[in-house]
Amino acid sequence: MWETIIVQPFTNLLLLITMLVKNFGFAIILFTILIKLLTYPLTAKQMKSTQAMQDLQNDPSFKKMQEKYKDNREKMAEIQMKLYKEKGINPFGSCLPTVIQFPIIIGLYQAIMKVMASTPLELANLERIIYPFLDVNKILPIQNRFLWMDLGQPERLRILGIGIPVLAILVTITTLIQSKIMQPPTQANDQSAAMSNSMMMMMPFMMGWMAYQFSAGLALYFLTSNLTTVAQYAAMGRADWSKIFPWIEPKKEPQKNVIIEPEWIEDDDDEVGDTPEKPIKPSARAAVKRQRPKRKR
Amino acid sequence: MKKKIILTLVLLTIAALVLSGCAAGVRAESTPGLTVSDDHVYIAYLSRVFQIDRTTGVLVSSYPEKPKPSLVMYAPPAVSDGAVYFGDLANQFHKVGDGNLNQITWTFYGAKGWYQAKAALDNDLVIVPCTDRNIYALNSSNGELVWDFKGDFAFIAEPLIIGDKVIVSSQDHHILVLNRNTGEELYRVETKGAVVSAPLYDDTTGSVYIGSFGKDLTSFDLETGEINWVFGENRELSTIWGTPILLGEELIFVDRAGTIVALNPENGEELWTVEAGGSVVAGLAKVDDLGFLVAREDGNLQFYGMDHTAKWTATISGKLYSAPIIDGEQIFVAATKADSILYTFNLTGQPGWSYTPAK
Repeated sequence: MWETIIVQPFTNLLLLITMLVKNFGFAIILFTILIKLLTYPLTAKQMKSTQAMQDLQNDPSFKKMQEKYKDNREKMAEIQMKLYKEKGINPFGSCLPTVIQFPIIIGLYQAIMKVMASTPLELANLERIIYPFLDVNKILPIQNRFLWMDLGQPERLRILGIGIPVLAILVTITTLIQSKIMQPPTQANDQSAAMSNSMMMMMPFMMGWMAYQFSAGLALYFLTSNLTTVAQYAAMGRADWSKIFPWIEPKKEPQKNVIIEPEWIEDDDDEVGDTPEKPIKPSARAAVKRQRPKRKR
Repeated sequence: MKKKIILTLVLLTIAALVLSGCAAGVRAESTPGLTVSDDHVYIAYLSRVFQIDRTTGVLVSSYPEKPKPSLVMYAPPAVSDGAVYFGDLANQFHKVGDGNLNQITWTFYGAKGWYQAKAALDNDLVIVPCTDRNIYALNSSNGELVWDFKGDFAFIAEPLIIGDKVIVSSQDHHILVLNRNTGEELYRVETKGAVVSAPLYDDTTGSVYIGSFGKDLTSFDLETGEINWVFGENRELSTIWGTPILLGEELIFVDRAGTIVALNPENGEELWTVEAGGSVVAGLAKVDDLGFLVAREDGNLQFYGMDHTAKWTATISGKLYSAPIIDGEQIFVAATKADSILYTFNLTGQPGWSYTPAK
């Protein structure tokens, strides 16, 4: 089922592109960009949704409302739902596109792995899923050579006898750039920001390690995917380049409109009459939960 | 600040350990590599090469002794004069002792790609096909490189050494014939598609037979390189994965769709066809004077008599991608996605021992 709906069409599309451009390296690049472009509406929707949710959560009145109803979760949820409805915010708006994109990304990865068949068994499995209108004989074998790389083997550029993993280095750098420019603004002394920073530091090295260990074809896909994501983000005007290049002036946050009218939080006082006059200091866990920035994707 | 750094370092270490565990595992999926010698059966699969007593099915030794997740092997070992030769997916090619697989005589580190196919042995020379697009000729006593031949695609089929020539199946739509002593290309014969199986040589006529992904079977004269005939141009065939066999006066091959075809080896004239009833990647194995075996992809093993009618069928609950080996009265079948990696049968299809590696 999964193979028929996702992997097989992707594999055949990748093979078709390979046949047309006659170069597997270019085919991986074009294929990745094409899939990224096709899923762009989902990415854009996800970014907008995340931004709207972030704006709402950063709104002082919203925070006030959360503070006021912290002991009445039902009431808080009810007001939140009303707010979401009124402001046209879908609380699942940022995760739904990610959920839809996930199988596409996995399918893209699996298609690339399938086409890079290097054993008789992998070739047999590849031949089995090629559509009849594509001539197997004209497609196979795939020429894995691209620039200095053998796309079926881990990539090393030999300079003076030393194998330099150029792709792994580029994947690490581009993943770092991607994480940096996509990082949402955080507040000082924010514990979630510390965690987020740790992840941001860890991810590029994880990706770089994978690019170092796995075949160059996959590393090329990682690199293209990173660059396309950064380009898409920049095209939407959301990239803050000052996080990468300190000499660039930081991007100014647009003046936020007040999202919540005070009446949302001023009525229904009776229902929360038992709220103590002196506000109770929220627990660290609750504070973190409220301030945690939404994941972009 | 210090806490943050420690946290980052801990997370990085965990990630590196987890990823190195994943990354050092299997990088390619393939079938068990099977070889049968006088006393033993050798089978390379995943992290070990097993030496099994061919009568009892009991494990004699393995390389390495305990499985190493970082080591993966699929290439069928080559056995000669008390030595075993095999390559792995860590780009290393080894010679070990027949009596003790852990006694490494030498290791060749010169390749930049892994080994998938069986090496060909000829006295002092080991000819090794490699996925880094090279054919390496090594000195069998010390593992030193004698010559290497650079091709355009990965070499994944066993070469054939005939006198002073080496016949190499190539995925670049050619059969290459090299000088055994120097590695120099003597000539090449064009096929209609990629060749992924070992060629068949008939020493009585001096002809070589080979099938390709181009849905054709080619016969050429080894001495001159001239094509004798090509079968498949006016015939609806599928891709050909296995090595053909010569049985009596007939040249028999099977295509991926399971059509078994017999030809006159002299002129390529079609004699008869039989449908195996399922996809065939492994090809055929001949049983002298009795018939031949067809290993279907779905685990169905069929024996056909000399009159090309099916005599018996055995089923393995797995997939068959490599040709069975028939040696004496025993049939050896390597399977994937099955309960065991190796099954044996007698010539009437009765199952014998099977081998499952200990976890």
